[in-house]
Amino acid sequence: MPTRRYIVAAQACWAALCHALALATLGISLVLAGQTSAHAQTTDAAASPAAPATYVLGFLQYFRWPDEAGIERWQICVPAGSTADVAVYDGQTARGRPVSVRRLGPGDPVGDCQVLDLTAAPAAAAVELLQSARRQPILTVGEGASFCTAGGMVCLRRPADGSGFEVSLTAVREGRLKASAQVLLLGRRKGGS
Amino acid sequence: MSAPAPPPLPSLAGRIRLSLLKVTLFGIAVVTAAALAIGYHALERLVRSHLATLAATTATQSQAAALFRDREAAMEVLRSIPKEQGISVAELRDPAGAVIARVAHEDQTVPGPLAPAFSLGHVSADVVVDGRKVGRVVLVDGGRPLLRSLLDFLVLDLLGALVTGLVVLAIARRLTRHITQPLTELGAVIRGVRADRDFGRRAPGGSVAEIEELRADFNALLDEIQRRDHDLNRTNAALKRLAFRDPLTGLANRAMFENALLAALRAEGGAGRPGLLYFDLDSFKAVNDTFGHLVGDALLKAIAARLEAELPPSALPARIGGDEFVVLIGGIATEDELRAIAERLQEALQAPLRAGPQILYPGLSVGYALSPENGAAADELIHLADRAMYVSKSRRREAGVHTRWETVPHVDHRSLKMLFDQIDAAGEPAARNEATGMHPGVIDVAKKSA
Repeated sequence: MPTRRYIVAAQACWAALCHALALATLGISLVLAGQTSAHAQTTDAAASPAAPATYVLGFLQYFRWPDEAGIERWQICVPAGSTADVAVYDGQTARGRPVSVRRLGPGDPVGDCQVLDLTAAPAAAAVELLQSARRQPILTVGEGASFCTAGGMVCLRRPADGSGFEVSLTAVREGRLKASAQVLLLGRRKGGS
Repeated sequence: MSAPAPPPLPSLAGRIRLSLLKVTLFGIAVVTAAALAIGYHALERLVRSHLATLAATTATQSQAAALFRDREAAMEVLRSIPKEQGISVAELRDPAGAVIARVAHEDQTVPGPLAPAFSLGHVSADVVVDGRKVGRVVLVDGGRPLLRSLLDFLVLDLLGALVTGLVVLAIARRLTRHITQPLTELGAVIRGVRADRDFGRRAPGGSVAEIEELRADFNALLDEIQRRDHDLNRTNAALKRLAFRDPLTGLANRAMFENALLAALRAEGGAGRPGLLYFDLDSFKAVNDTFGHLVGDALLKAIAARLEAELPPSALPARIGGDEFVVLIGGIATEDELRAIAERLQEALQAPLRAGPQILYPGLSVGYALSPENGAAADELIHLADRAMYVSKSRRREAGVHTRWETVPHVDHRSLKMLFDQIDAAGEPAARNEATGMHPGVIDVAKKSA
């Protein structure tokens, strides 16, 4: 009886439809549940490039000094003629030690400095300080690739060249400092490419 | 205006099958819904915790990039998140919320309005260096992992439903066969009884108690019907016999003969015409008066038996009066043919027969009539044959021909009754005694053609 077959088939389809309806109802409930977790996000504005002082503070995290146990505070030395914004360093700490800034006059010893921030220093003062800090555990940070060829350890790119920095491994090794892998990866990538 | 035909009724097997299928599908739907609800929440928890781990790992890898706000380094870290994690947007933001780097995979977003149902939204982890929050990793879930898992589940569920449905249908088919097959066979037996009056069949046994009961009841009913039908047939036969047979000789009676004659006259075509013979015993009253009715009845029986023996089965002999016999013979071509039959029959009937100590020489007058080409009424034909017979009888009487008898001397009269019983009812004439010279003699067949 073909007619009976059709009836059975039609009613089976109806049952399948019920099945699908149940699933659809479930799906809708899931949508409602999901929509409660819809998120709201803050501004999408792009972050401004980091200032040199920010880099210097960051390097305190990724470089290791030979006798860190004896270091009570991070001494960041800035030549007298530098235009660097040293106010950034005020009140900062790194790895549990406070950060302090010292301005260096001509001829001042650099022995107790952990970092020489030469990013905005007059060229003459920068060269002189670089020479006196040579082979000492003092992280020298300058601007422009020429700084590294002149014996500096870390040279930040000039704002015109984009962000980032390079690390001179030779200078770092001579100063008996240790650079962490992360900072080396960042630096080498910049320098290498 | 014709009323619409009623829709065909669904079969019992179809209904049972459909019900089983509905129950099964309903069960599957309920289980699926429950499993989906539970599975959805379990999967959501799992995916959420996985995303949290992923965000934390990414945050650790982004420390330097966040610290130096290095976009390219951050991009590299964000791009390193495997695609199959289903992340549609990955961001590294600085503590103020500004974006340092952002990687978006539009193809990881579930399209359509269902997207919010599967996406877990955003998961974030702070990038902390030296106890200081330097940034935040934000991962937005595109919803694909959850959707994929649920789809896999649904496909499996539908496959399971399909397989279960087929199995249920197969089981239902076997189940319903136990119910519908005995019913079908029962129906066939009922139809057999109705259409062919086939009372010999019985419904075969079933494997379901109710149907077995129905079958037993029906078979019992059939037994009863069969018995009643048998009784009815027997009664009918007896009634028919009463109505159409002569009780003494067993020949057809007048009613049956007239019916047959009418039917023969009405019948068209065929070779020949119906012919009618009319016999009457001579001096039958004298036999009765002399020897009693027992001998008279025996004589009538003997004549009847001889008629039946001499005639072909197609001819119809009948006793229509006390000593009057008629014969209806079909397919007669000519009057001469009919006359020849009449003479032959007369001779056979007049053969002597023994009744106890007596030897009877029955004399029979015969008349015949042949249905004319143009047809004649039945009573007219009977009348004609009757008249012809009377003419013959009166001539025979004038000629001194009648039924005679003689007594065999050596037979004991006291054993007469016993001998009556031995009368040869089969009509085989007793030994004809040629020596007595008591032959019936003249065969005088008067005829009168219509």
